[in-house]
Amino acid sequence: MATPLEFTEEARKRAAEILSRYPDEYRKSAVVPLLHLAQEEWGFVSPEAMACVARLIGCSPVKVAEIATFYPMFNKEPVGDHVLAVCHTLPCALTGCGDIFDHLSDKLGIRLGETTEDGRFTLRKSECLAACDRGPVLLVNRKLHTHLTTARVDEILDGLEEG
Amino acid sequence: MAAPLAILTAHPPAGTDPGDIEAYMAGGGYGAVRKALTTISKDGLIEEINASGIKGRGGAGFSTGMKWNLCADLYPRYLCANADESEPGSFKDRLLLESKPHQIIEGMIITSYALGINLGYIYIRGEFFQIIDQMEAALADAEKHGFLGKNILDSGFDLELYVHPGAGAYICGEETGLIESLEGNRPYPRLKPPFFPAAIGLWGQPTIVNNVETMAQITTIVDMGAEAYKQIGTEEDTTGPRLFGLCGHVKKPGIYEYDSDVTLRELIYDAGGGIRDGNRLKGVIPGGISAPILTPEEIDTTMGFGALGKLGSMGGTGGIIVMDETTSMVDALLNASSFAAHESCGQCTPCREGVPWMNDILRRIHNGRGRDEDLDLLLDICKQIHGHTVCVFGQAPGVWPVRTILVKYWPEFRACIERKERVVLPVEESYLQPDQYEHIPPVPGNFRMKTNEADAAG
Amino acid sequence: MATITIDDRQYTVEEGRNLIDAAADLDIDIPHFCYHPGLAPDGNCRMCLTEMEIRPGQFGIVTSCTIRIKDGMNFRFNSPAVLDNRKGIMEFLLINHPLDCPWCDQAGECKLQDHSFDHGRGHSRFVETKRVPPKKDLGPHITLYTTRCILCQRCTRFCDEITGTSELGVVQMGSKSEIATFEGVPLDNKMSGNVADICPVGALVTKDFLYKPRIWHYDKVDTLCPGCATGCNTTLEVMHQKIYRTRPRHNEAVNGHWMCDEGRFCYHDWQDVDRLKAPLKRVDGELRQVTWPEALDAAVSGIQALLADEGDSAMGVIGSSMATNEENYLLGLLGAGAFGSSRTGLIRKPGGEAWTSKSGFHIDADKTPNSRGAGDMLGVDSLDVILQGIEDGTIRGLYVLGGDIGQTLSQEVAEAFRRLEFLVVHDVRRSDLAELADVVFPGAVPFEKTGTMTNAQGRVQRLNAAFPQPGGAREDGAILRYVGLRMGVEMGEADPARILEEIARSVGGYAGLTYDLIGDQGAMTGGEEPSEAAGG
Repeated sequence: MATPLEFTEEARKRAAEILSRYPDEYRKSAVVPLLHLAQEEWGFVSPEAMACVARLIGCSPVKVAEIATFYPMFNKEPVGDHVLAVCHTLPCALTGCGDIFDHLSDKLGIRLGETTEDGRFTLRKSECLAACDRGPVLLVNRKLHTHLTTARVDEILDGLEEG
Repeated sequence: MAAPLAILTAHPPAGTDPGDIEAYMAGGGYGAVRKALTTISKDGLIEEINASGIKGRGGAGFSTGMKWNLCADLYPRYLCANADESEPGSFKDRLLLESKPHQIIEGMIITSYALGINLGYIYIRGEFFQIIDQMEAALADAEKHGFLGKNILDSGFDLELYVHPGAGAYICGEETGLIESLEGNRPYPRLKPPFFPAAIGLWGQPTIVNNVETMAQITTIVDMGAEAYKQIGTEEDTTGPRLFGLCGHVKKPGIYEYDSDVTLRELIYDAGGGIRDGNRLKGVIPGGISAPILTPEEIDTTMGFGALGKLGSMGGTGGIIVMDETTSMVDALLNASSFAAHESCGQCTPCREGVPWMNDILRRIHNGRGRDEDLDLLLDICKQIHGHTVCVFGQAPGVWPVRTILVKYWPEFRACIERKERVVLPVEESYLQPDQYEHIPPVPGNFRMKTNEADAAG
Repeated sequence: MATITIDDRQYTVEEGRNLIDAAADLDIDIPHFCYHPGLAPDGNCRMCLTEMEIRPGQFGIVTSCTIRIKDGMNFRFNSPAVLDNRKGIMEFLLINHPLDCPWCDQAGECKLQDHSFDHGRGHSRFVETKRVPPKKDLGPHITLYTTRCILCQRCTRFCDEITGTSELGVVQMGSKSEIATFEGVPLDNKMSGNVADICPVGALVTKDFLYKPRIWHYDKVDTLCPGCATGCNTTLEVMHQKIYRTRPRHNEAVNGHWMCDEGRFCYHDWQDVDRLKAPLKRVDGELRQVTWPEALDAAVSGIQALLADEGDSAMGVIGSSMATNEENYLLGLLGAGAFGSSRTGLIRKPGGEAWTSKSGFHIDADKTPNSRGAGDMLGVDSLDVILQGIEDGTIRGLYVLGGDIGQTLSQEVAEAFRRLEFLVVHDVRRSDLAELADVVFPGAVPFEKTGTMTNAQGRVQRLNAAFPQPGGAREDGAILRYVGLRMGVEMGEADPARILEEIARSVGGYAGLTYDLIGDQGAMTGGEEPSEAAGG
């Protein structure tokens, strides 16, 4: 089996705090928050990370893989420093998310799901981000950007380059 | 003309942090919790909610009081507040989560107290990173101020509440899918019967799953009293203030608060300022992507659950998607269908196979490779899915948009197939009048599916 | 019991039974894929939807697999709504399913094929591109043809509910969902072969039964697994005197719907071995092939010489836990009647590993099928008396009912046997034991025998021969009768049913047992059914 990764001391404390939110006999409930933690730690959820989570909650590793592969938010492969997810559901489509996506794709020279060669950006589409009144919207890592125009997108990217 | 309300949308004074518990309390916050825990009995609270006539705000419009009453007489019981807002076109929960975290927490405390619940979770969709952080801080503050934890306000009542993050799956908004997700399983919705959450829910125990807006409304009900609350709106259409989200081709998109008597026309043209660029309205989806579409001739309806139901649509989440004359209904439906195909959990056959199949056919039509028989085939697939799935997902985002957009905007789809290219017909030519689509299977009018009726008897 | 109505006809069925099983009891088939009587219902395939009366006059769609029968329920199995749904489900399951029946091993026992015949459309309306996920090697015994999978999840539920090993899961989401194992954790448990049996389509197949002749070419023989003392009920699939596949046969009191991999594949041990096909006789210190009359003469004259020389007590007999109750009983008769010896023994094999699954399915430590029955017939469960007799010189000859493929003699036993003056052995190969003998009769393996065996629980069950013994080998009961005949012992007709009647009269605990009573599900010794089903 994939050798389980080990959380850092800091992450182990957070894992223990997460586990404490659920009755001890239902540790498996913590699988999604623990996978989020694993993704924060290692950037993506590898089989080794899944094995780490499986060991923490005491279940068969395939049961963690069932969860990790189900949810779109878990990266199964390494991603760029910045993950750009353009909402492409109907309200954003009506307000022009297609142009935003194409602009990003042209500017970064990557297609859907790809990462730039320098490992800076990964380009994705997202389902509805529940900010339909502010579309088109773009989730950059943990931050939501709204009312996008191509010019605004350039500013956002420039901000990231600097940061 | 309906007047806008400012109950749930009443903003704290500018410059205050919505997560700041001190500011919230200074404005009377946690008064509802204090009132409920110190002056009203548990039974009295349940009666109050029953009397208020509130219908749940998650989309199905099910009576909250009835949901509570169905709770099996077993302990422990659990609470799940559903903040997995992901129905396209819906963003009211985000507004409340961003601006009223403590009002939601209050509702959760009151609900838990009334139903004898000592452990609850607020299931927030994973993409709401900032909201999750704010809610966790708010819960910690509430505990510091003695509204959570042991012996709250000396009432002898204990409660722990935690945030449980989702990870990007629409199906977790379905109440039993949410429970499975919270248990750490694949979020496959459960069979009803026997798995009605109020009877067998989280970890096999009775569980109340309520939308976060419903939780915030509970606080409002206790604050203003059921008697005053039910003066807003009607029992049939739901009492209390409603949050309507306007998006798409309106001039002023956003959340607007009205009672259910407001008409769709008022929302679009008065609240929303009308259609962008002076364009003409082509169609409007009145309650999140699953709600059957209405043509420009149908927008004089009021927005109540009952009123929209009579039109063959539904109140849903109150997320209103407005489409103007530039919209290709083929594009719009392909978009809705792609969403459904992407989000189908894959548990049961009709949804897993049928919904992506419809998506393939629509993409073909969109790409100018539609066949004459495709439209009838789509309707036939809808029929094969409808009422045959484990949960309502198969028909809600899966079937209803296809069935209703296709049936009503049939001429535009026909044109697309005949001309083998993307066609946007002029508004009047693009849709049929109701008496023109008798030959097409009727538009489903009722949110309840057949299996649920079987459940009631089982 | 409950009275229910199905399509306007009334039936009486067991209350609380699941509707699919209740209908099956009435010989009414409700088509289904995900439901399996050995697993908790899941309701995902949606094929079993029927209509039930929800309130007077109003019918609603329900999943038959989750409905528990209550008195007064009213169903429609053949209404347009029900039939249309089946047609729809069949279409959905087939749009992405390959049309590779001509080379799929499941053909002929595929639920998708069967139901397609009854409920399918005959032509496809699907003109899009099918999904073609690659096949996967899941473990030592099982391959997944991913394209054929209909995601009924019987296999994942089996590994969760029955073995408790949870090696299988569903990964990815929606239409991309696939059955999978975790990297480096293959489907490798003691019961993994069962997932191929319960797979309703040709997705999960055992590597053992891959690219084999079509299933309708085989003769099916209901018998018992010889792999351990649990005595799992099995069905062998046989052609040209060769076993191609062993599958568990449902017996709730013994093995439920399951069997272990060790038992499932153990037929190879017996089938692939170099069998004895003619009797052997020791000539000038070496075993040589001889004719049956020669071997029988040699055995009888050897025994008689020993008996004449030393009197009654010189011969002992050793029974076999691989042989049937009837054969061990006849051995007892031979010992008592011809040798005048009441000294008997039983060679116990060293115990193997015992294992009990999460659901209670048990693999016994005793890797022979009939220790309990052989012991009951001969009133002995060890070799102590025999070894003592050899030790003190009172036993100088032995008649051993051997016949175990896996048998190796311990140092102690082998040394004791070497001291014998005359040794007659039944065996199926040139084993350690056979090599020590003066006369070796070529016997039968369990797949070539008819009779009864008694499992570790004390349940007497029927073993049925799948095919005759190869070459000059014979059933051990017949060999015992040849020897008996030559030594003046009347053993009666060879029919095991008749011998069992005799056993029922004379062996404690077997009173009242008849071949008919045992039937295909067995019957307990002592006349008592166990209080709890052990099958899981």
